[in-house]
Amino acid sequence: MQIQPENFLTVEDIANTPRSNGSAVRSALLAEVLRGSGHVRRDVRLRVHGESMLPALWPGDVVEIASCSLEDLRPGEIVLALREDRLFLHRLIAPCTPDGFRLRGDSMPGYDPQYPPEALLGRLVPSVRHGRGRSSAVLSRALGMLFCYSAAARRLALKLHGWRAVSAGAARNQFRNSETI
Amino acid sequence: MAASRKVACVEIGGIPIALSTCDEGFLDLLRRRYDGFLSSSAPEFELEFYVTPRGSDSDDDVRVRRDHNEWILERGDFHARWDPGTRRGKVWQNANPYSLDSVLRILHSLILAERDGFLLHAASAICDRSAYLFSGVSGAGKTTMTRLAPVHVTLLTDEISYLRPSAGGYAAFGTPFAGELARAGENCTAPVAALFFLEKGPENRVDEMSQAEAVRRLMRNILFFAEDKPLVERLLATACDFVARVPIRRLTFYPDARVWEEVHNFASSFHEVAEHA
Repeated sequence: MQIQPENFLTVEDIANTPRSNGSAVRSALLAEVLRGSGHVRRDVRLRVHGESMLPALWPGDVVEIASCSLEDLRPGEIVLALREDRLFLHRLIAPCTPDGFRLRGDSMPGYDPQYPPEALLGRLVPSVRHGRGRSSAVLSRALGMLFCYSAAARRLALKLHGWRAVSAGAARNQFRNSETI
Repeated sequence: MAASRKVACVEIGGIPIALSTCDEGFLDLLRRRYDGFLSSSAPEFELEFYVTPRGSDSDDDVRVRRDHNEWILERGDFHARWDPGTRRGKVWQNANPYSLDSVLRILHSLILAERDGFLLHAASAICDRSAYLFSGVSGAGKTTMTRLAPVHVTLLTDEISYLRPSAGGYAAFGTPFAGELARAGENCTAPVAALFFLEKGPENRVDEMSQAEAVRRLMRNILFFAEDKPLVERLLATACDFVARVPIRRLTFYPDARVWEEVHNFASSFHEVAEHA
């Protein structure tokens, strides 16, 4: 059986989230897939856990990550990095330097510690859903700050998102059922 | 009047399955083939066998797919339907023991996937109350390792290892599924101490391997046939957990008895590290 990494790997981006024994192994596997691509772009799909990138990314979102080099990155992009066997999908906040790069979750109060260059795994492939360009990054960052400092706003947003996800799922099922009748 | 069904309960990996048939000859075959694994436990699952003059083409690709609530298992030499909800199934096959083995392996692979265990293309043996696994493609040396084993080593299998999660790690169980050795394993179990991926070479050597490589090689050697995304996803999670819990090394070996000294040395050094940790 050959591994198909897409769909099976998850991003755990909250530092104190309890982790299963295998999650570090999954992270290593993903890192190998993305780093092993050389100059050939390789894409993987990941399911997002955690809330540190609200409202750009929501728990349960499936995102596409493409391998890239430091030179490819521009501030405002969402970047996948590996630190201490853990995956982080956060926004690049400044141009990369030879010493590494700095990331921050949109709804996190502070920057992540500096990442060394080798921590880079890839970047988010933008979609309509996740917004494109600098304006959407600024808007997400502004709303993220609201969610960062207002637990009530965060809870409400997550609840609304949960309802929306459930109703979207129900609509999809209804469509499938009508197809099979 | 329908002939009465005779039952043999076969327990592999601690999972008793009642195998029933109306065919006396087939029942006799069942009992002889799984002699060391017959059990008086209450069966968890039931399989009804119908001996038919089906083709004997076991070279066809096996297909395992879902059809509503049932699994369909198909190959040239058998057809089976299995309902995990009722824990019952029916098998139509000829009286070939290899077809019987194949059906049981597939069934166990499905049951194990739901219980975070798996079947691995590997020889396994118990040495000093710990199980060691030797995995690799055909020709890598699985049977050779079992043939070279010292007398105090208990053979669990030379072909298909049976692995289930246990307290603090994984346990290996003996299986009746034999390879070139043509000998069933002992019906016993032990905690897994290490998995070695075999490679033949001019000398004996144990090397580290990255976790990512270990997962990739492990997944290549897991027996799983079902076309079912959630189960495959779960199997990958199990494989990652296994790699996180069990020491995995590359064992390059020259096929003589000294390779077991290498295994023993590795086991001793690993126990010392664990005790000092």
